[in-house]
Amino acid sequence: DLGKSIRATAQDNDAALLMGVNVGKMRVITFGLGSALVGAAGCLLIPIYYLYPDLGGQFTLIAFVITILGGLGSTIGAIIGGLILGVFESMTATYAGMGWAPVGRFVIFIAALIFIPGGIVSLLKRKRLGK
Amino acid sequence: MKKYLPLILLAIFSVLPLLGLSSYVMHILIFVIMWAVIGMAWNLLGGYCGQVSFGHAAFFGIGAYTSGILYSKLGVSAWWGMPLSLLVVTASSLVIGYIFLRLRGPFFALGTLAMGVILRVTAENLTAFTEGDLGIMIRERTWVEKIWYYYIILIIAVCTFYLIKKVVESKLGYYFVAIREDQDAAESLGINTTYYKTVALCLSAVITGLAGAFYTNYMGYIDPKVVFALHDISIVAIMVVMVGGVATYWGPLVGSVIMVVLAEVIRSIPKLGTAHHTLFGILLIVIIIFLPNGIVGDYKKLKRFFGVRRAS
Repeated sequence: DLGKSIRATAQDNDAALLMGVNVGKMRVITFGLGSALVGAAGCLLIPIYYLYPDLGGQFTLIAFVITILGGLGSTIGAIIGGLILGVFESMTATYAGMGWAPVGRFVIFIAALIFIPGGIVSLLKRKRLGK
Repeated sequence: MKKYLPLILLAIFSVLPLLGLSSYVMHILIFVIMWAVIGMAWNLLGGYCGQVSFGHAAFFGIGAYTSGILYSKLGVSAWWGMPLSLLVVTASSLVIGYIFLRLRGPFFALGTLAMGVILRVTAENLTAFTEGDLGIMIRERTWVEKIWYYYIILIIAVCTFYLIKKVVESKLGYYFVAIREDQDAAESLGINTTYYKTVALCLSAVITGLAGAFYTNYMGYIDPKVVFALHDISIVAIMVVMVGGVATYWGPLVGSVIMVVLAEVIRSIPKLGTAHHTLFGILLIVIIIFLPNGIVGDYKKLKRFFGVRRAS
């Protein structure tokens, strides 16, 4: 029920409001859930990474890239996107040099934006539908 | 009165350096005008044409590096970088526009954001060409006094203002606004949207690149982290316009005065330490929440607010 309300809010703000969904509350819940998950991920990261106040910035960009690559609004897509991004970035670092790794990351991002705007999930969906 | 306002402002700005201001004040004035130029450039693309770009540092950096590489590799005066940067930035903005202008709305913003980062990392890594993180140093300063730099950037600013006023008031400007309001509707009315978006991007990029080339000559030192900076160039360019007023002629100037002068004033408050960043950020948030159209756009609201306060 909560998930349906959240999806309705995402699809059409006004229509959801008319259907009796508390849009403001749904937004707060979604934002809180997302932030809480990121916070938990941050705790998991700390044993293998060093800590400084600017730490968050670089991950914000990577998160964007992964979400667009995998497809907006899809958890499976985010997992696949993260996997592809990580492998591609490591390959760039190995074959083109350590400094070029961010270039690899953003090139794949731009390629995803232009060639598969729906993300990897849209490719999977197309295959399932047999188109 | 209102008709002569630009001329009066121009007269004030051109007399200002003759008052014998200290070089610190001159530096701030130069930066105010430089940011006004970049803001006006961003305003043309983001404000009038509606293509919000998070990657104007890319054009700024290309302009700056055109100047710098010309000096460090060919030994030509870095001032030649300014005319040459027009060509280089036009060429690169055509390529960038061809790739990114097929994206819409937030995707265009994300794409340009990624492009800025790609160019920064490329500049850091092409050490044979750009000296990488060492940066390029212009060893011979043309002038010691800042007054000449001030007049050069003032001339650029006046030309930019005039150009943008002309463009926005011409047929081109109406095409831009039509694309901003509804791209599909504009296309169905026979406007070649891709072409006009490319024109807007080109104009905007060229002006930003010119400001970048000026920056190289004025500061005498560039490195990729400075001229391709996401936070210090791209975001500030957006903030200048947002604070001043989107799609207004005077917005970028007002915004750059706020962004540069207010930041310096807050920095000079004693005993604040590095917390001046926090205070400045809070002030910006307050401005954006209460004046969503910027100071110029919400001028009436501002006037009413202060009028009410005075009466009570």
